Amino acid sequence: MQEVIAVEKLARRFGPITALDDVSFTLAGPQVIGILGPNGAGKTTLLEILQGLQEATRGTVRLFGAPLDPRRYPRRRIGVVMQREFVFDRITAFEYADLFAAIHRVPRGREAILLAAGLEARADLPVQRLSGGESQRLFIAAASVHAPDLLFLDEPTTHLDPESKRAIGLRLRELAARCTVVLTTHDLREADAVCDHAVFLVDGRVKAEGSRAALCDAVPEGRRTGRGLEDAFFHFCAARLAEGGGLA
Amino acid sequence: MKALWLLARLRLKEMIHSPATAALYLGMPLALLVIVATVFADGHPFERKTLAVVGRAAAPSGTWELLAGLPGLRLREDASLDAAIARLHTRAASGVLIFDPSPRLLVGPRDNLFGRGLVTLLPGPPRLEIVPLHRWGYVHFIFPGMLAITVIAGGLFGMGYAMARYRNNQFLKKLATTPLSRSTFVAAQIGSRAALVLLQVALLGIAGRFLFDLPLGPVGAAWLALLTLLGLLCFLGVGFALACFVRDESNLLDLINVLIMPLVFLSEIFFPVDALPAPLALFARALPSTELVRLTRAVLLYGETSPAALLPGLAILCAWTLATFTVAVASFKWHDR
Repeated sequence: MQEVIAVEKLARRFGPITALDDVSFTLAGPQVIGILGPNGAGKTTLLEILQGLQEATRGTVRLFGAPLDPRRYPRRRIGVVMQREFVFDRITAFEYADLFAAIHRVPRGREAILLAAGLEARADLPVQRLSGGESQRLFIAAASVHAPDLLFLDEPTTHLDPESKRAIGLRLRELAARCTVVLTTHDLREADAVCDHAVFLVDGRVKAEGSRAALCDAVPEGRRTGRGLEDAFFHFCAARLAEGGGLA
Repeated sequence: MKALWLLARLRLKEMIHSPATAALYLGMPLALLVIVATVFADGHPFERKTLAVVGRAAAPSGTWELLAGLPGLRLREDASLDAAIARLHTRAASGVLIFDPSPRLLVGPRDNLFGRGLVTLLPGPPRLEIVPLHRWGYVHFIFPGMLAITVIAGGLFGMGYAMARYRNNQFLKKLATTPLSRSTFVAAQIGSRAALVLLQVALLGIAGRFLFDLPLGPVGAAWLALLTLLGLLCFLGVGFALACFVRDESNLLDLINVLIMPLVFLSEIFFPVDALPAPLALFARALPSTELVRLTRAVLLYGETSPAALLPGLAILCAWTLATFTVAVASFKWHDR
């Protein structure tokens, strides 16, 4: 594995609100990396900075070993699935696949997208009539049709049923064989099933970061309930709260 | 009862959701009143008669001054008799006064009384001729205006509203993460809207030709397509520029609605700009939509196809297009950082 993302002392403020504060970590790939935290933790803000969509107020970001320059962002090496993907009215799965294959200039990309999404038989259906799981598979397939080195997904399984979540998880594991997958989620069980590495983000600050195994091993025996990253998340959050003098 | 009150209150809140929207909603009728009052300050423009004069140099001395001193009469000189008669047919002129070779006054049947009165005032006096006018003459006059309205709406809504919608739905943000170039994206927006507007104009042209005897031949149709494209590019540029500055979808929609009304009044669609009060006429003449209407009218109705005559108008439209697109491209961002 080699360094894909390195963030140092990153901060992002919106007026008086601090969305991210003193965030530092280094992530290597390929693997699945989860940025975990409750709603409002700053996950989307962090992801958008990494995607070159927002500028940090302070701090530095390196992508693929080079300083991130939004004007020369390596767009051909990344793929993005947004929290709420926009689709044109009445656009079919076929047309959606065609559009993103053309944008990424991938020959026969349309067929590859539909195949990866398992939608060859339903290609003529409007995307708005697909199930949540089918749509999400289509968005992921379209965002990864050009075989990116880095794939960002913002809350990819929110509002999906368990079966769809499992299918998306499997797909992300497949992609992680050659690509670094960075996803945000507040679903700790899903993260435990999918992620190799996790960053715990609460109130704009990193509470802990490391491989799944290392984070789980850090939980004292007596506090383990067999829920892996979920145990680790609450362990590190509780520890931080104790430092702050809240719950301890 | 409480549900009714709550639903009504929520709907009101939805409609007047920001100070800007509230100002637009409440200010629009007032603005409209001010515009209409200014436009019609001297009465309806067609209350005053326009007299097209051909061969002024041959007029008996003092005639022009006499005519210029008549209240309610507007004078315009025309270089050719054909153009002046075309104005008569389209109701853009109530009479045509010809001095060369012998003085004649041509009027339509409805302006018989006006013609009889006028000849009694003039030295000579000129011979009065009642000319049967084309039944759909005024429809011919407003046809270029219909074209302009199609182009204005297509440009402002087609580009402005679509861009604001894409921004609000984060589609622009999504595209920013892909290798798609800005020029490809903008060209796609222009291409799709141009195709739609050209189709609308083609249908308008066919309807005009076959239902209202619009004098539209192959040369006129080619000019019509060219002017439509140029006008559309110009208003797409305006819509694009507006969307760069007004980020909110519904605010932009309100603003476009507010803009369209004065554009319709001031672009010579229903009556000549010269009929407006002087300061307003000055402003109206500078509008790209006025130039679009004038050029279309010159080509379709007055038979003007010489590039030299049309070049100044084309240059103004091109300058507008260039200016709006320069502002828009300079201000365009896929997303706010």
